[in-house]
Amino acid sequence: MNPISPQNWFLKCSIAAGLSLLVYAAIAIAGPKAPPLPTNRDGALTVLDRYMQEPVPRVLLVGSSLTARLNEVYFDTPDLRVIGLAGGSPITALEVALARNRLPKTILIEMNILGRGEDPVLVQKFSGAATSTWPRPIRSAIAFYERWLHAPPDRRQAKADAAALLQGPPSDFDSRIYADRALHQSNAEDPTVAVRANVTRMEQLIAAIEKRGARVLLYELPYSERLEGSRSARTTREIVHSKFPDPDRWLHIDFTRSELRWADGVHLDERSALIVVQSIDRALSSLLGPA
Amino acid sequence: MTFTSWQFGLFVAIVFATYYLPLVRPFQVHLLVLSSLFFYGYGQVELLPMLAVAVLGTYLFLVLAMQARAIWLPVGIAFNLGLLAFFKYKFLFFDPATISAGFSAADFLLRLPLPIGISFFVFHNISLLVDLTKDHKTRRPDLTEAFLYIIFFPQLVSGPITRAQMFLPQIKEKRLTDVDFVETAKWILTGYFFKLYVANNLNEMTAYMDFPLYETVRLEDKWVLVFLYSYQIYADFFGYTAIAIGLGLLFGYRLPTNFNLPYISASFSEFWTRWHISLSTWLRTYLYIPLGGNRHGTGRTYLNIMIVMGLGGLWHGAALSYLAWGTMHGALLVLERVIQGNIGGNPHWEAVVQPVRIGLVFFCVSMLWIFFKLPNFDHALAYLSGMFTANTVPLQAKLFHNLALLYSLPVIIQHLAPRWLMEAARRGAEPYLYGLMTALMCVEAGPSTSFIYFQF
Repeated sequence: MNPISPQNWFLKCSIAAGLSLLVYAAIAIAGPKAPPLPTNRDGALTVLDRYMQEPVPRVLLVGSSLTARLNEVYFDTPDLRVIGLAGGSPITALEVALARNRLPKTILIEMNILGRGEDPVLVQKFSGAATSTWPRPIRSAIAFYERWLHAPPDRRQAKADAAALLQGPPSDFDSRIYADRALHQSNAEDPTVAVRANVTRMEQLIAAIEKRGARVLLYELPYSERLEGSRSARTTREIVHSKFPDPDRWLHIDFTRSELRWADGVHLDERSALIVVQSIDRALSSLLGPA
Repeated sequence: MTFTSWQFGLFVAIVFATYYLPLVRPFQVHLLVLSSLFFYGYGQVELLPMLAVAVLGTYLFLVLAMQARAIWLPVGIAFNLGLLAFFKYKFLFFDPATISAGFSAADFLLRLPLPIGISFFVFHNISLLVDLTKDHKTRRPDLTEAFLYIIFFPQLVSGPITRAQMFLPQIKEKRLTDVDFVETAKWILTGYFFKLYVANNLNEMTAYMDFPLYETVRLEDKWVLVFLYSYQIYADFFGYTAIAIGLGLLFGYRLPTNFNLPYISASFSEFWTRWHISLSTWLRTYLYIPLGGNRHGTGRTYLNIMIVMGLGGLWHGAALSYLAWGTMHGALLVLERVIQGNIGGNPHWEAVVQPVRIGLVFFCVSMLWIFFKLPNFDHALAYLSGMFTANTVPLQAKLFHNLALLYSLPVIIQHLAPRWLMEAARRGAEPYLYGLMTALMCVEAGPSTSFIYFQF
């Protein structure tokens, strides 16, 4: 067989590459938008992408990874969404929420972690100012497949699971090693400057939200006893409460503290999150009335 | 400047466009030396004087050793090993936090970052000194040629480690008509494909092997990640080498191949003839054989293997994990020799035994990569122990096995596809295959990350 000439080789190679890229571009432009495929559960990308794709809810909870543990399917309050950003800040979630034409009627803001500010990459990506990015085809195909494979859990089944979870005793998982690490991190730096700046920004965002007719309530999630006294938690609480002293501004959550456990020293475990969700439900019900 | 940046593409395009001009032809070596200096100094200008000292010092010792080898060769080698030891291992003796911000020469030297590729160009220097002083017939290269051999930009940062005897004879006038563009394109496209599509995408997943992220990984995923890292490090380093070989060909230089399907090795000794071949060859030629190789009895041979592999591990960095990685590979090589010496192979069972051996070697090699991935020895041990203990941490990280398989597929196909199938595909479909690879690496490239071997 005669060896192929270099010109022919490069021509065939270019045709194959060019045609493949054309087909890809056509599908990327005209095809459906692929959901994100984060490598960790409850990734910020998934949460924000879903919020932007679905209709604006009646009630919205925004917060950090602490809030991310409050599973939406456990809430009795109808039409409620949760944007909990692991490693992120409620400011990011509020910025994204504000970018939509309509706002939820009630927005609940977690005030535990305010040492972190806005994530400009996420805000730009979801606030509509972002330039469109080309999807990765293999990743997109797997994302569609995964979404088809793991459809959102059936609400009735989730309720049954929750009831079963509450029947059982609190977890006896020993999280001391993680709590020690978290405590060390919480005491490592003085967060005053960052928290003050973020609380000021939060105040501006709340004013912007209320100007658009939505109601804003603040809430604090419980820490483990060791972390309650950490420098970061203490400083944040002081600054936040001096900025928002009005008790009516706060959602009062009642729960039996001895029933709560923190899976990794910081975040509530599934059963504890469920207990807190139920108390938020009760507080919302008395505030907002029936749906 | 990394191979995957647009700046590098522009740089190569400019050098290539100039290199074969008739006016420039007499100065091709000079052009490559200047380009290599620019490439090295881009973003790290403060290290250029150090590179110059290393090359000029080596050249001086070469000139002297050609007169009196017995005296100056050891001095020249010590000079280079001293450079390597100073930059790579200084923090074993000095706490970085205690280095003062003073202006003395010592302060300045201690503050210098680890020069990229120092392990590679020091090995080139030693090869230059040893190879060219072996006999009196060898022509001494001029300074520019020595510079080019040591700092030729495609191989400067991460090899392949080319022996002086192989490279220097290639230094002559180059013509565009001599360039095999198809072979060049195939190397470069393959290299970028393995780096961008395989290694960078797998890196997103294997990042979960790092501390403390591995504490959120499920037990079974910890095992999967080990094998994914095996594929990633191969794709990353093979990709780099393939690009380097392609670039070498573009400028008329053939660099040695560095990989030959290492994960189908049926023995550990075979693995080291297929993985990072240029380093294995270098260590064998300049360390194992001078130590006596296998010429002084069984016990001494085993000791030599352990020394070479231990030093080979430390060459990667001053960390207990690298030493453990090297010595454990040495121990496997010794164990293999002991077992092979006592068991006669039965040819009837070969068809069954061979795949088992390949699987065993791949498994052991992959497990040892844990020490490579986690240079902190405690973290490596914690990861290993986590592979045998159920992870009870809630909210564990998620690994998409189907995606991992699709990103690993090129490495698996390259290693396991029957040769006849590859040959058949190559005959008719080769250019189309490369076209598809090009498209795929454009649209499915993983997030940019440095080549793993840049740190060495």
